[in-house]
Amino acid sequence: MKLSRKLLTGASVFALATVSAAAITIGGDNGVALHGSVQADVLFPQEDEAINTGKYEHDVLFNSYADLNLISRYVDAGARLEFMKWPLPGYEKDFDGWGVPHIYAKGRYKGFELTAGDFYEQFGSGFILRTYEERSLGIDNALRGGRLRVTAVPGLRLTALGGVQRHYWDWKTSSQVYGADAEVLLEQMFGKLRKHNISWMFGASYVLKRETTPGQTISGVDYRLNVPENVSAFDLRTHVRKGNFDIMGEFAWKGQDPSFDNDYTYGKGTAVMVSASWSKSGISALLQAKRSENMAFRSQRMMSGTSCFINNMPAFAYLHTYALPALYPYATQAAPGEWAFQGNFAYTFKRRTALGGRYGTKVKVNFSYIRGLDHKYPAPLFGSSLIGTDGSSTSFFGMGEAYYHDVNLQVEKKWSQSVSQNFMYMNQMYNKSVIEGEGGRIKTNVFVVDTKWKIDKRFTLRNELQYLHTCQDEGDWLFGLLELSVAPYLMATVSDMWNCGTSGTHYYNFGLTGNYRSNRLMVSYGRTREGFNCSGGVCRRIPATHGFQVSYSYTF
Amino acid sequence: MIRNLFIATLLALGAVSCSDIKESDRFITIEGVTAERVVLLEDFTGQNCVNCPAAHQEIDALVKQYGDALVPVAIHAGSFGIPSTNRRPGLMQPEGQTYNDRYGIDEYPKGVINGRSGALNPGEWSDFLREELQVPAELDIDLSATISADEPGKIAVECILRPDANMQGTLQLWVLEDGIVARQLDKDGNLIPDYVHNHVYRAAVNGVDGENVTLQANTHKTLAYTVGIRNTDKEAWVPENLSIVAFLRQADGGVAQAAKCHVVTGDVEEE
Repeated sequence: MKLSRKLLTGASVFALATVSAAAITIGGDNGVALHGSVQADVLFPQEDEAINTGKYEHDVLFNSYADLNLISRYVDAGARLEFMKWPLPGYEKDFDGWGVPHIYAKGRYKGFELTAGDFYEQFGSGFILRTYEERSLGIDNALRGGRLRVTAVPGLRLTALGGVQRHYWDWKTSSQVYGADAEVLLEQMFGKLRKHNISWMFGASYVLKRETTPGQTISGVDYRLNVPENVSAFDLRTHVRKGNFDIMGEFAWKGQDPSFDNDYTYGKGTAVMVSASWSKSGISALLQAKRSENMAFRSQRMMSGTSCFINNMPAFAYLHTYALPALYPYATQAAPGEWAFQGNFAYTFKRRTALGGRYGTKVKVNFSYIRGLDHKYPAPLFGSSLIGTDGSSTSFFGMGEAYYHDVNLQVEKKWSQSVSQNFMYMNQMYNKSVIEGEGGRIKTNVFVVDTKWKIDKRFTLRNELQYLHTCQDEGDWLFGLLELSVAPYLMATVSDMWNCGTSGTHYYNFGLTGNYRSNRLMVSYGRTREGFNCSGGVCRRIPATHGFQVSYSYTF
Repeated sequence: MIRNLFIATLLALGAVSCSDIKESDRFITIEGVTAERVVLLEDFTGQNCVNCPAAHQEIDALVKQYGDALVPVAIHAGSFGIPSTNRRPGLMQPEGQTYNDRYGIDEYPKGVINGRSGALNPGEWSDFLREELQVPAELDIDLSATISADEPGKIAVECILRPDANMQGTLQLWVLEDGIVARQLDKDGNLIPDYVHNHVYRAAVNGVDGENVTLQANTHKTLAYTVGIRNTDKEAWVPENLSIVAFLRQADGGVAQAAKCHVVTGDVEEE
């Protein structure tokens, strides 16, 4: 299809949604409101052998979304149009398509809420159920069916749901998900707790996956795997808050669930997490620990990649926003399991003190430490495959090899009314063999200086300088960025990420962003390095790209 | 209420545990399959792919089960492949990436069965293979490949197509090699320096995209080719380990029939 026709098709979809939204004038006086958004991300790719972009079949690639939601006192309804016939690079093969994959109607009356259609839901921390949308990863595992929420009894929240899960443009009816959740807020039942300012929640959840697709045949023999049609998972949790203290604990258990993720073994899955934090003005501390094993839970047992997960194990690695610290992001190992520890401590030295200076100084220390479990594998039944066995056995406190660690120190310092700086040092170990399948252990030290200069009321100049040192993988990197903001509408950036360690390749980028009311338009040109885009512990491999990018969003 | 919720939870947990499948009940015996055709399995693999040795074992098990009815081809491709042009050369040919990209494969190992299964994980190969094997083919392919003592650096290939019905498609012939000793990462990320790679794709005989053929029912078509045996410092084929694979791919992408033969060394004719 010619470039002009593709552009016309995409622009038409986009314009229709925008015009429809703008043309409907339903006001708040009638108790009915229309909200929504439009988003389009476009790439005009150029083949670039120097960074291995590969070849492109199309001259323009884009992902676009248009959401419309009607909100009223008793009834909500909404739909989303998606158009990714020629999607941006790096998404899974089944991602491309177009249509209205999300549509719902919701009614509420006196503490009862009933949803029919597509919906997202999470029980607790997501150990056994988390359906969500994350566009940058191409994840949308919404359930299509029905959900009832009851909050009619003070202090009690009940949820029951059932449906089939979205897998891109397919909803497989032979795989169904059902769930129930109850949360009790004890402080609403017991006055004594309220009197002592204690907030205490108990929660319990149950999820059932029913999949009637027969198990697969075994290579080399005339056997078929006898798989359970019903897989159950439970979750128990509690959360206590008093004053500056906050303590949470959660336990989850999953029944026999032979799947691609666990090599079709029959062991049970478990997850346990504890978290404690304390904070008051100027100081805070957080400590968390999590152990999970065999907790990859999908609605289709043979699926691989990032789709069809019913649950989501929370990420236990600090999410970096600076480019070089984010070069080696950790992806949660839900199937083999992990021991993960995370903590942070923040302290603000007050203004007009020796360490605080005139404006105060904030210091943050974060650490993440993740290890695998001490797996002991049984004798295989067929070849070297563990198919049909109970899978590996582990001791609860036993740990295997190190997967990841990250210790970083950040200092935020304001020098004057117009100048402030952030400094960061990070020490990191990234086990690329485990996380990406090959590459050994990468040890890095990263330094970041981020300087902001508010020139006047309109102009702000920001500069980032980053340096990553490693003796492994591609060696050292340097990153520089200059960003000029012209309030309130414009921002121009120029950046370069330079692999000074081995290849000498420059990943340059020039961008211009405009904001006007609810509109945001970004235009950029340059190269993007092959890497991973991660959110919440889930990562998508992004191939290297070179070309013009245009991103537009409008929210109303 | 809380006590009731707790008791209900324990009861439900107990009930679910009783429904576990014991080890002795995890396999259901099924009927064997009689092969009605030869099926092509394109295994997209890589020397740095830690899960690929397990896929190679799946293929070994399937070959043991179905013998000559299965033609596996290991196509090294993607980010886990090592290019044949590297300073320390690997098994990935440039056209391997071309074939990989046609299926849009970016995870490894993946296999495509008879060009119509889509990219499948190794655990899914057996099911699809069983289905394909039972579909009668309307084409037979007779294949022979010899190295003459007169021309030891070349393989003479003869391919005879015997259709039972009118058909059109793209005929593709590939050179494969067994017994290549080269590096491979295992599932723990350890390097196996002397791993034995089998049915490795080495070259296309009649072009990367093959050639279009039109066949008439019950009319044989004989085609002949010559392939040079590579013997460079980066790639040295061992003639005794070579095979030729031929298959006809139809317009829908599916393979109508496949065939494989070993390359044999012919006798020198006495003058």
